[in-house]
Amino acid sequence: MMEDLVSMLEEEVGSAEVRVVRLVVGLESCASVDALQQCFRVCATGTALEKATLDIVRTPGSDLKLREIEVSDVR
Amino acid sequence: MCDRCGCDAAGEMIHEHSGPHAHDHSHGHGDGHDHAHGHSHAHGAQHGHDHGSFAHRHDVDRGQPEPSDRAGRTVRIERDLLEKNNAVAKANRERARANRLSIFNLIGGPGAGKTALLEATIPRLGKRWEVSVLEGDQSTDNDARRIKEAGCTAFQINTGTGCHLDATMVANGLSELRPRDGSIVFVENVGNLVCPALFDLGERAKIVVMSVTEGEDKPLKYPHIFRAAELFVLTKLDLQPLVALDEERCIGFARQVNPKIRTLRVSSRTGQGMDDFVAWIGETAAKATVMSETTP
Repeated sequence: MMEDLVSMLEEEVGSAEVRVVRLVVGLESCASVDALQQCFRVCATGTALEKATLDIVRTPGSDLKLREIEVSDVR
Repeated sequence: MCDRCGCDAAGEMIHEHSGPHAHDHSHGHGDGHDHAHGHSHAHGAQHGHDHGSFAHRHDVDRGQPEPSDRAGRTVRIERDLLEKNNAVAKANRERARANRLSIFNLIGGPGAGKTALLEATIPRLGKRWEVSVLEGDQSTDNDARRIKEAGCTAFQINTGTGCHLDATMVANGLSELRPRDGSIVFVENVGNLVCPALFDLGERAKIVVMSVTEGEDKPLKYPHIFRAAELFVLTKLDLQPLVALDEERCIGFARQVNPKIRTLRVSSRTGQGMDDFVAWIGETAAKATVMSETTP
C-alpha cells in the first residue's frame, strides 16, 4: 500500500519535493498507524518523498485515504 | 507574480524563504494578515499579488539557491489508499463469477492450523467439488507440496518481505492455477492476523482460523480480521485438554467484535467438526454458483 502511495505521488509531484503527506485513517479501517509510519519510511527512502513526514488524521469510520500533500517546488 | 513563490496561483499556499533578500515588487495585504519581516524589502516593480488564507515568511538571500528556491503549496488529492488493490479485487470477483468459482480466503497467525485444515478438507470436499489452492508464504513451497500430497492442484506464492497477499498476487496466481469452472479455490494467506484483514482479494468469504493453543482474547486483540470474516474456525480441538483456553469465552469475544460471525470448532487431526466445516464450504460455494448462473 505504501509502495503504491509513494509511486503514485512521485508521478503526481514531478520534480517537486514532498514535505508532508497527510492521510485519513479511520479507527475501523484495520490499518495500524505504526505500521503505516514504518512502511512509509522504508518505501520513501531514495524518492521525492524521502524528507516528507507522514501526518495521520484519525477519524471514527473506516476511511483509508490520502487527503493532501504539502510540496516544495524546487526551481 | 512573485517568481519565487508563485503565490498568485489559486488555492492554499505556504511559502518560506529562509534568508534576507530583496523583492522587486509591491504586494497588497487586503485580508489583514500578519507576517514577520526581520529583513528589508525593496519593492521596485509594481505588481500586486493576492494573499488569501495562507501564511508566508520572507527571509531569504537571493544569492543562496537552497533552500530559498522553493515554494510550498498544499495539494488536495483525496484518494483511496487501496484503490489499486480494490480495482484488481473487483476484477477477480468478476472473473470468479464468470467462471462460477468460489474463492475462500483463509487468514490466521502462523501455526494456527490453516494448512492442516486444508489437508483435512480436500479429501472430504473432493467427492463433490473440484478444489485447488493458492498458498501464500514469505518463502518456501512447503505448504504447496503438502496440499498437492493431499490430492489437489496448488500454486505457491512467495511474498518475500510481504506480510500478506494482495489482489494482484491472487490474480496472477489464478492465471497459473487455472481452476476449473464451477470449482472451489482456497487462498491460504500469509500467517498474519493484521495486514490480510485490509486487503480484499476478490474472495467469496474471509475465514479466520485460530487454534486453541492461542490466547482466548485474540478476537479482542485483533478485532479487524474477526470483523471482516464470515466464519471463525477454532482449530486443534484435540489439544484442548492440554491448554487453558476457555472456548465459550473465546467465541463470546469473537461475537462481541462481530455478532454475525459463524463459529465452528474442529480438529483436523481427529476429524472432529470437519463435517460441519465441509458442509459450510459446500453450501456457501453452491450459493455462489447459483448466484453466478442467475446474475447477468
